[in-house]
Amino acid sequence: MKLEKVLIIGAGTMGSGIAQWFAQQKVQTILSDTNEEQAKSAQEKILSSWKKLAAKGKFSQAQCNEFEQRLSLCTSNNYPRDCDLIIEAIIEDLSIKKNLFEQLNQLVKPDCIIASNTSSFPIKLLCEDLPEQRKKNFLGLHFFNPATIMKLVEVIKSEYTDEKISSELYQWFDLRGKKPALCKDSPGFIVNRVARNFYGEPLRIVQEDNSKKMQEVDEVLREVAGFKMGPFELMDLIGIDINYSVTCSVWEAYHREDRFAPHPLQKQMVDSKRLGRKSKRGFYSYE
Amino acid sequence: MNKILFVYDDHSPLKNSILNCSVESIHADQYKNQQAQVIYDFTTYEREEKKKLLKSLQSQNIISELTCLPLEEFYSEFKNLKACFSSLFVTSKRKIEIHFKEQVDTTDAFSRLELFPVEVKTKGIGFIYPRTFAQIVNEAYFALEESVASKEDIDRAMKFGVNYPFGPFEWSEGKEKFIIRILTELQKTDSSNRYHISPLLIKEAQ
Repeated sequence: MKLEKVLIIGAGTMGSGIAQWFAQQKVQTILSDTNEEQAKSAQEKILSSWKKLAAKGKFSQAQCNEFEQRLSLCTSNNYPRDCDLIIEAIIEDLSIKKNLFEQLNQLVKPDCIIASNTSSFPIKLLCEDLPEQRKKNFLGLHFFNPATIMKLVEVIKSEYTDEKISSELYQWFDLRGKKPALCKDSPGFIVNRVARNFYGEPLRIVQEDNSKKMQEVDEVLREVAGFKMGPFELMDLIGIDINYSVTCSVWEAYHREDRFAPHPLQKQMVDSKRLGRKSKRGFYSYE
Repeated sequence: MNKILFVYDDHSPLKNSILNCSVESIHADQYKNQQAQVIYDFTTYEREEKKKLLKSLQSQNIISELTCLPLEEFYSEFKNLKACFSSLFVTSKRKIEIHFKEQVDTTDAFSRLELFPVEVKTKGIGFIYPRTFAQIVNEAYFALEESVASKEDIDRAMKFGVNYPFGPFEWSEGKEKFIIRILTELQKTDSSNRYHISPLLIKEAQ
């Protein structure tokens, strides 16, 4: 598979991380956002990150210059037509995403692969209104934050996705140091489903808003089990509201199966605006 | 008498370490009233067999492996049971959870097995790490059963997407029966289907 030109739509944390990683892979990378200031700011952050990486000796200056040349911006009314791959990393809003895919369908070359970095919508739902040929070239590519560092890419094939496309992309990522995981189009894909109990079970162990108990659970899961972070400190870092929202979305998608049910403490924390580090109070205090 | 005795069975994951350490040890089947100041029970027995063994142990101080059984029930039934620990899923860090009903110095005994006890106040079924781990593995089996991805891809996703030290399948290999026992005990405490066990996990454990 040859990917020479990639368009990343959405210059938030995920989009800009994905764009940075692609530019480092000898691929012409175009980053776009409906908010042009956002795109410019993302580009500046990427350039500054390369400068830091060059200073640390992670890349040579010559390499960073090449990366820089490969990265450009475009506006949302000026998407290139000849991209080999487009990755959508915009807001998690179904109708906005669907409108974007319809717009791309009218614009880009027939064999362009269109992918979504969604973590919450079924891939089938995102592409259902597109023509048959487009559906074959449509799949999920779910990156993890920070995309330049985290090696996993979930390669999600819908029932329409051409096997050849998903397996070739799998190999393409594998050859470039990513650790792809091929998965079916099902709620939460792999990680957001299997990892739910890393939060859900500790919440049931502590049962109540008790930071001493949470500290014990965090310490045991870090020190005894070997996880990098404990569940409560991790929820505080991610944002308790974000984690709660993912939990609810997976729970709903699995028809409210008990295994995925949110814990009442999660809602209680969100309702009382204790959202984690960002609000200076979560399961722990950061004031 | 400061004698320490380790008791084990054929399924004790630490059996080899026990046999190779400097502490006197005995297979539970061969235990015949040997006395000791402290007896460390590493057996993986189920409820009734475990109770039968604990009744027979001749010591005022028993420290028992109870990952898959309810601590409260055993504490109330065995007054000489001073502490419980969880050693079924030891990682390379060699740290184990231990809960004390009464403080006993266990550091020396565990250090002979190169184990480092971490005291916990939580005394529910499955302690903290095994209980959380059991549910993660159970969900991984549900995902596999539904053909969401292969074992290898699920392991890879959890290691490289959320930095798990191991993938759930490689981590639980050979320990599936213990996971089922933890989940079975948890089912008894919960009226919902939260601890419903993946049929594939049950099949794999057989």
